[in-house]
Amino acid sequence: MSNLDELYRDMLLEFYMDTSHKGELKESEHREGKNISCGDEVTLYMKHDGDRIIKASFTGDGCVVSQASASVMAHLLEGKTLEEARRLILNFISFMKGDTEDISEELKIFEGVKQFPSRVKCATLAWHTALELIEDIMKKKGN
Amino acid sequence: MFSPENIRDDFPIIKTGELVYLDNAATTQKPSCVINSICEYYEKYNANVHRSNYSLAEKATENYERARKKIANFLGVEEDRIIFTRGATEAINLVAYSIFLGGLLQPGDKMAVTIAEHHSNFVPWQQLCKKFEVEMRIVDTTDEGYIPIESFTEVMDEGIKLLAFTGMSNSLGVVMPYHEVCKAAREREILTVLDGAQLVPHHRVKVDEIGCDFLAFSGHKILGPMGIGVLCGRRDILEKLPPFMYGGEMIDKVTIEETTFNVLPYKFEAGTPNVEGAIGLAKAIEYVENIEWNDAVKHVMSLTKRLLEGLASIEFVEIYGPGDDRQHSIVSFNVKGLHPHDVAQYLSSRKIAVRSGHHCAQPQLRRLGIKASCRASLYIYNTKDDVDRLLRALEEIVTVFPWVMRNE
Ligand SMILES: Cc1ncc(COP(=O)(O)O)c(C=O)c1O
Repeated sequence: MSNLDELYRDMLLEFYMDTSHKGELKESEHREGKNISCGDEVTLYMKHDGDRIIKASFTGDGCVVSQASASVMAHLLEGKTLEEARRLILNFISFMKGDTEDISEELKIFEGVKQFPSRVKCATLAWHTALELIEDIMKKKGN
Repeated sequence: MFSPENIRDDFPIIKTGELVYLDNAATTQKPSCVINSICEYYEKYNANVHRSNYSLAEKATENYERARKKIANFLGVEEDRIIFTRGATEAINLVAYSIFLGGLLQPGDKMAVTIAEHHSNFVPWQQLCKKFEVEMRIVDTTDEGYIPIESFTEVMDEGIKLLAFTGMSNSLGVVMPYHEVCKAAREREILTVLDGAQLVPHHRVKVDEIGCDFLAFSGHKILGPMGIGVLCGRRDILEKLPPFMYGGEMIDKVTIEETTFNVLPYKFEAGTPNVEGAIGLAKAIEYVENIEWNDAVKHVMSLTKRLLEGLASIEFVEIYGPGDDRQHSIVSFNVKGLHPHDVAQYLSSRKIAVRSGHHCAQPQLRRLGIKASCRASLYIYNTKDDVDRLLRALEEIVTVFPWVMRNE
């Protein structure tokens, strides 16, 4: 496989095309994230019952990598408890940084992004944004 | 006769032929003579300038000052009007701070910039205007990114005291009517700061013929090294302005109570300067002067036209800018349905270097209703083949991102 094919694996393109988690969620909490170096923006929406994430979605404009990554993430977060979601996000971020190889099968499609250091930020933008949102929700709940 | 083929061997990165380099608006490649001049400085006469009288230091000072003279000749001015800076950004900050600190713009005054500016000729003015309560007006572009002289004079007649504008926009490559603008401004006694970062590498700029009060540019966009640039100013104003940075070199006499400042240009050059940079830039200017310049410009214009026409014939490509001869060397475009980063990444896999993003010109892109674009920018060593390789690669982009066609 060429480097480019590894970056844009078919599965990644499929998640990019899958718009089932794209769009605003009414009556949800949201958070905006921004990649300063390229201007990509993502807004993340989450509906939860105080314990579990019931629904997640995103809006925004960005490259294939950032959009596919937001799409997979929204899909994976649904049904998880806030704590499980938090751990999954931290795991993905460490995986993208090269700190761990231990990652679930679906997320291995981002392996190829790692050889393009400037694109790692695209892959993690939605995840960083989700992490902030979840930590916010957990903090509010704690009080 | 000028031909790119005859000069490509002068550029180590171009010579390899491995890469189609189309990011010249960001920085140009360097010819060997520039690279060697820097080595020679460090190997043969490195010493601090203007400080000591041993022969090595004298040689360094002499070469540094000769570099200044070379650049002064190139711009058609006297050498004490050439102030070395880190680049266009520092040159603009220097003149902006000095103008505000010197009270040439005061609370309640008005000044203007255009919406086509690079952030470095936008943000300093915006921030200083806020701090000093000066009103910043904006000269708008047309939907194509051009600014006709009437749009400039309209804002001039709103009572502005200073206009800062680019001669050639870095996001779209649009050449503004800078001669007329400077003339109209001078008739109205409005100070002009011309951002020449893109203009100087492509047009022969004679400062006093244009009639701007200040000109800023960067060496690295005209074959010179990074970290060196120039502010060229009108002598009577430079003499009036207070220095922007304080330190060594720029002083005349220092006592515990007071300091008097050195003469031009040293008043504005605090600290040990970038000697290697000045020498490298002078070498780059010499290189440019030895080329049949009119032919080189014509060559870049014909490549621009080829690129514009080629892109226009690809149905899924959208081009920004007027698309005629007001556009020089730079073409901004998008592949419909695809983010510019993905386009640039794909092109990189085809060994073609273009820029993607907002090109440090967010107000201009927002004005066009886009967030980002791909930008291909040409210089004298690019060839028809470079342009054709870009066009061919773009046509074949559907093989990687098949939905590009469907998005039509
Ligand atoms: C029109 C324009 N102005 C200013 C600058 C800033 O130049 P530098 O980053 O070299 O200071 C650039 C560089 O991209 C430019 O294109």
